[in-house]
Amino acid sequence: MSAPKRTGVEKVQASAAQRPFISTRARSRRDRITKALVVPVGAFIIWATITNLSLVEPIFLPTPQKIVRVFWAIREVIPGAFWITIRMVAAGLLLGGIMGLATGLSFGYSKWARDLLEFSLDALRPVPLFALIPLFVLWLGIGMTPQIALVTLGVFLILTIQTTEAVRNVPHIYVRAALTAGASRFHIYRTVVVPAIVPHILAGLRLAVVGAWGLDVAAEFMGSQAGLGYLMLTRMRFLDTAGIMAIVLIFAVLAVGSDFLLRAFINRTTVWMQRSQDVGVVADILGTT
Amino acid sequence: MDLRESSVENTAPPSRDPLARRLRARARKVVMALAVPFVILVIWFAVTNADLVNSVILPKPQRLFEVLSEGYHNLSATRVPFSEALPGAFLITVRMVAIGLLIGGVLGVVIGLLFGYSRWARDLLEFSLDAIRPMPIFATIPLFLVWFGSGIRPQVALIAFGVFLIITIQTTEAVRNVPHIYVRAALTAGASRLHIYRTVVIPSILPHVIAGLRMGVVAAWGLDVAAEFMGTQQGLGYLMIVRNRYLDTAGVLVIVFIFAGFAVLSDFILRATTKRFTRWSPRGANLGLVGDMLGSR
Repeated sequence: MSAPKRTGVEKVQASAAQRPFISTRARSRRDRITKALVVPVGAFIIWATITNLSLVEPIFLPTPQKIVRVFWAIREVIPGAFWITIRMVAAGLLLGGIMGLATGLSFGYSKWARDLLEFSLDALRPVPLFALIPLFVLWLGIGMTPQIALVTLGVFLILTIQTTEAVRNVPHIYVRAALTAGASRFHIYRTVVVPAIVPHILAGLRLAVVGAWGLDVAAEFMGSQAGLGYLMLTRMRFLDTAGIMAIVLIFAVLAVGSDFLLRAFINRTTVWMQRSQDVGVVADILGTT
Repeated sequence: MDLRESSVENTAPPSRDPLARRLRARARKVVMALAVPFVILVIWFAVTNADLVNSVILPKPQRLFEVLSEGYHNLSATRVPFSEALPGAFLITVRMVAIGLLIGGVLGVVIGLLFGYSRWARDLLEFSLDAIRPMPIFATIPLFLVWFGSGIRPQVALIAFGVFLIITIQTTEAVRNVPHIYVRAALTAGASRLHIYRTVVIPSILPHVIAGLRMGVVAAWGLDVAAEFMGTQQGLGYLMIVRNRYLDTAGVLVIVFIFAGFAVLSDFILRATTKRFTRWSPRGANLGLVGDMLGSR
């Protein structure tokens, strides 16, 4: 090019013209996977190297092989603790999810319910639920009840807010169109609002699942005699860092795995509202790809 | 008199006094909003003062004030009046939350902006961050305690880490949600990438980032409480654990209310700021029938 200075569009157009679209995508996919793995693999190599060269105290950071050995050592206690934790999280998610969805929908539907309850719930929202753990333990005793109650409350709050917000974000034009067609309020709610909020609610569910794991861990630390969190606490008392890390790893796999499954499910069910339709120059600038 | 005549001339009987009507609607809203907390307080008062529940389970509301004024706090064999132990513990907690928020917030905004700006940074780091995002940070509290020792460091580190993750994700999402038409318009006008970033992207993500900051602040309080429960010798959370060991439920409740009060207050301040910054954003502009049907405010 003879012109010394080019504007943004020209630059991007020029670079786009150099490579055909399809092959760019295929190459950049492989390239992206490689790059994405650089950091985790690098971190693992550094970890393995410095711990095996005894550059750090094992109490701060044990060797990777030590963690594998710990897994083997505690293999018999893990399944029991695992199921108890899963049961608590699932029960809390189910109870809190149903309550939150019902309350959120009633907020959208009834002005009366909104006026009555929304202020209280809004005020409660920023309160750190963890501060309630001692009270929950006091009120509900030890065992699984306080954990389930805390997870339920947390999930309930998240889903109520997400559902209310979802209803608020329904494009007004849909409702107007239905009104023009003569639909009743209830009819609009059933055939326009509820279907329209499904994607948003599924996204809210993801938040709730993530929140549920966190609440469960914190609650188990405080007043539980069983479960993975409790197991971690006993490892901590023995200053067994490898044991702590092994259980952190289990929690990470559980949380990341459940989020992954949920995300796959969401992608499948909400194909019709993909926002990444707009690829190309703009998407690249905004980092959508 | 003139005014009244003109209002008669306008002849709009139902909306003759729109101000009074609006005031009445507002008053009704306030009354309804306060009905639930008020009823709960009355029930609490009635049930406890009629001795229907054990005072360890639920103390009388007035006990909370007694604890504040004349309660004692046993700190390492010395009895300190509760009212003297509170301010110190409170300041330590606020300091931990503030330092953690600052570190995590700054790092998060910088990394989030970098993700928006550089595809290279995105490819390199986003997968890793996305992978650890759903992980319960609370599960790492024991590790933070082992790594950072006692004092306020593990708490600050945990809060910074949690806030960092939230703000990074929120900022990245905010950049992604910038309306493409703005960027197109700027491109058409011949702006360079950096220029677009500085004059289009950053201003338009501001409301979203502040909203993310609200999430960060809420999370910071929660992370602080959980971290303090696990391993600190100072701060409000620690005070609460000590009260809990003495089965002093009134003392626990006082601290719960302090936490609640300050979490709500900090959220309120941020929300007020958000409103000011996002007055121009389209949501809420469309009220009326549809707004009512969708529950907009």
